[in-house]
Amino acid sequence: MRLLIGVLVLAGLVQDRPGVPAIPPEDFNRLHGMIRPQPGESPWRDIEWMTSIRGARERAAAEGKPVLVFTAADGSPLART
Amino acid sequence: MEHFIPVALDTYFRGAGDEVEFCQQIKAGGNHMAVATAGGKVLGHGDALRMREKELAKALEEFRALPEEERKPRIEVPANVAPPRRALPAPPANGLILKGHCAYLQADPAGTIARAKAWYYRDNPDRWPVETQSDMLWLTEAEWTSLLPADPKKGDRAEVALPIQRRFFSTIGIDYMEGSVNALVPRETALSLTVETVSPESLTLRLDGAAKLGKEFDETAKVGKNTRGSDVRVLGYVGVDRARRTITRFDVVGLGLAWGNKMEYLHREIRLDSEPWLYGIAVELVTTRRPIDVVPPYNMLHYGSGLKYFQN
Repeated sequence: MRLLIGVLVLAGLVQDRPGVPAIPPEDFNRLHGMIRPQPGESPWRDIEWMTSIRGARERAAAEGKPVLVFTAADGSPLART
Repeated sequence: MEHFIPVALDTYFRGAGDEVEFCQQIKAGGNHMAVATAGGKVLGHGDALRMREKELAKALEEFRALPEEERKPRIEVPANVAPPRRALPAPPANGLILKGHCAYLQADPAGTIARAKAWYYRDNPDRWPVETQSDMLWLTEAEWTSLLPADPKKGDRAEVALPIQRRFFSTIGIDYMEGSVNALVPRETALSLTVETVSPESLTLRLDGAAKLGKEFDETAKVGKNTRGSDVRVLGYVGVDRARRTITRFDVVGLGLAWGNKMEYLHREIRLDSEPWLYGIAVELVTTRRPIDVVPPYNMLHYGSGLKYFQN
């Protein structure tokens, strides 16, 4: 019974949304690739960021490099913000 | 970036006492970038630093002019260092990590969906193009294993557990292109898995779903506060290695219509010509566990709209 209800709810939700485009299975791969970050779009995301100040300081001291600290006000810069 | 040690932090989760102290010393916090020696000497332009090659080059030049003891200082952590005020959550043990992406879309006259170009502060001379946003979704071991049918037969269909549906749609099923936006409380959700192919070694499940989220659309959405909402439908494919009982693929596409202004702000950072507008989401499985792979989901820590991330 729960499965039947779920199927009916899904059918209703899918039908009752004029304007929301359908997702043809044959277009799935193209859409998936297109919505993902595009090559070269955000080079800063390709950096191998650390997420620990202590770890970064220790590594910087060992390797003789400066630390670059990137912060965001509401969340991690590596997520959405 | 090979000449630097890059570290990215959520300002509210900067770590233990020594780490917070270091951040305060170099003024690392808020929407900001700072370069410093491991010992805490600020380099470059300080408050005005941006990640542009010429500025980083200057900071690097300053660094290289320093004596070795400043370039390779001894780092000591006090024995009585204060623990983090807020501990950064770790993914659930043996859990599943998914990465979601969000982009604005448009349909051409023939109905073909393509990316839409949009701008932050488009009326500002210093405007810049929006970038794909990304976020994470965590499932516990019990949750992701609940997606695997015990005795799969082609055509078998099962609903995804409601807590997973709600978490998926309310956090990474929404339009989060403006970044710091709250999860949208689901009004209706439906999500199911159907067995598409099955063999002794592997299993492919098709994911179908839809949701109505946040506030319902009406014409006042453009000028009202806290009026965000969306309608979204999703299609996905989940691959399973039956012998290892592991998920090997979790690809999802979502197309949705979104509207409204976030929270108390009336003027969106990204203004779009149509309302509602078309957005898309794409989800994929994360198979590595680098520091950047285990960044917590945004709405787990911020603007969760009162929705508990892991519900019973």
